[in-house]
Amino acid sequence: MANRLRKFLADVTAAREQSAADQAALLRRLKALRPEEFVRLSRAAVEELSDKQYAEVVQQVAPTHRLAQPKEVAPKKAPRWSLRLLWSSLPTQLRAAIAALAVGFLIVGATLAVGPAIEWWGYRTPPVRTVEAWAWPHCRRLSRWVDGCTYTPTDRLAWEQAASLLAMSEMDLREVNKHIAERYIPAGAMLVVWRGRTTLLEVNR
Amino acid sequence: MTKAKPSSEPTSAIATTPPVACIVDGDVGGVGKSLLAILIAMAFALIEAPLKVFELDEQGKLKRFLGPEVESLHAARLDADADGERDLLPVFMPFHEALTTMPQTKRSLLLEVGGALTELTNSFIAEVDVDQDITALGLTVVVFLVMVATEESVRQVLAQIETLRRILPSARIVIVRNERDGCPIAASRDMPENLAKGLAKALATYQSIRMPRLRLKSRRIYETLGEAPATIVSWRNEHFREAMARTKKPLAEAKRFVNDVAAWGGTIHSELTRILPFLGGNNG
Repeated sequence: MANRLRKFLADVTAAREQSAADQAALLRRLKALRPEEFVRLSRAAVEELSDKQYAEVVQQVAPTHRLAQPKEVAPKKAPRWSLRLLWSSLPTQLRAAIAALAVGFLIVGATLAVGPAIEWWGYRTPPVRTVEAWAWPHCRRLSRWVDGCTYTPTDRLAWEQAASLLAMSEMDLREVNKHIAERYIPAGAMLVVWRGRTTLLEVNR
Repeated sequence: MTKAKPSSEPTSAIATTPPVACIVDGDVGGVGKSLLAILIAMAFALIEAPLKVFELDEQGKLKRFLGPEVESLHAARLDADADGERDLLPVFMPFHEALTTMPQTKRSLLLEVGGALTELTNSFIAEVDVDQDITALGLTVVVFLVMVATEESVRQVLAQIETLRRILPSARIVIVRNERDGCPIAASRDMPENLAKGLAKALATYQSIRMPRLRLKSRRIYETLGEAPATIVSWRNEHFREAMARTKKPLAEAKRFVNDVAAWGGTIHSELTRILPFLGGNNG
């Protein structure tokens, strides 16, 4: 073995022994202190101690005092899968496309829902009509939420189908449309939609 | 080209005799690459084994500690040709020459790759196909990848392992766990799962050494002095007179500094000896 290496290893061994001896001497000195002396020590005097050594010293200096045991903090487990993680793992372009599609669907859905919503809102209050059906407003379409209006089919329409669209019985529909005496509702005929929720007003001439 | 597989025995020695080429890398700056390089150079000096030191860095830290014989590879002076492409060969030529003539010169090599210059070194290794030279000439190349207990550092080291497996499969990888900011293994438990698992797998596959923490006060004095650890350790003579004179500190502090450096350097030396047993003076 080279002399330099031998000397280095000998120096390292000696330094380690000296460090251990210094540490032991420091511990002995600290353990011999009275509690009031120990608390007055500067931070530098105890900063070299490990947590275990510090606890040893405290136990010796103040046997009745117990240091609080550090609590074991269980590491929070990250969820293996979550929507947020999945979302953030998608490429930005794909995320933008999905967001655009979602907004598009929302707008289309809202647009389609506006008409029926208005009809439903209008249906809540039973209409007040005169017996002269020709003066009634025109039904935009046949649905369960229309009442007190007239509809003019552009093509001939089966009674059964019209009643189904209006969600009323075919008999009731035929009853208020006695002026149409045919097997089908002909194109251009005036189909009266009246559910009889109020009484028709007489017209004073 | 024969593609060597990584060792399945992480504790076995890599080389029992010099010459050996050691590359110290870690990509992120300030992880302790220079400290490790200095300690490797010290270990070679202690057994009087010839070692040529290169540093791919502009800081000149190794030159300050190890003397003017350290050769700097000036990456910053890379000239771009008319096509705007950088020619890496002039930068790495001295290292490559020394590497490929290692069997004749019997001189070991040490290259420290400066912070953020890993990509440049990888480009050179791939472009020249250094792995082919290693295999053909039967060279021993050890890459020390230094990591600290941070996500970024662990990520960089794992990425570099993957790159080395591809471009330099014949090199032996040694992971260096610098405990300056805490133990990287313990810290990895709080890192993303892929990093923790990646590190555990890497440590099970490749050899690793521990680089203990040097007390902050002692590290500051050490870096200011610019002396090799073996020299500092020798200041124990004459009851630390030299240590007091050089550090300008009272006896207690000078003594603690020398003892800290001795314990720190001694531990790393014994860790290196585990990887390169000839550093223990048995075969040198």
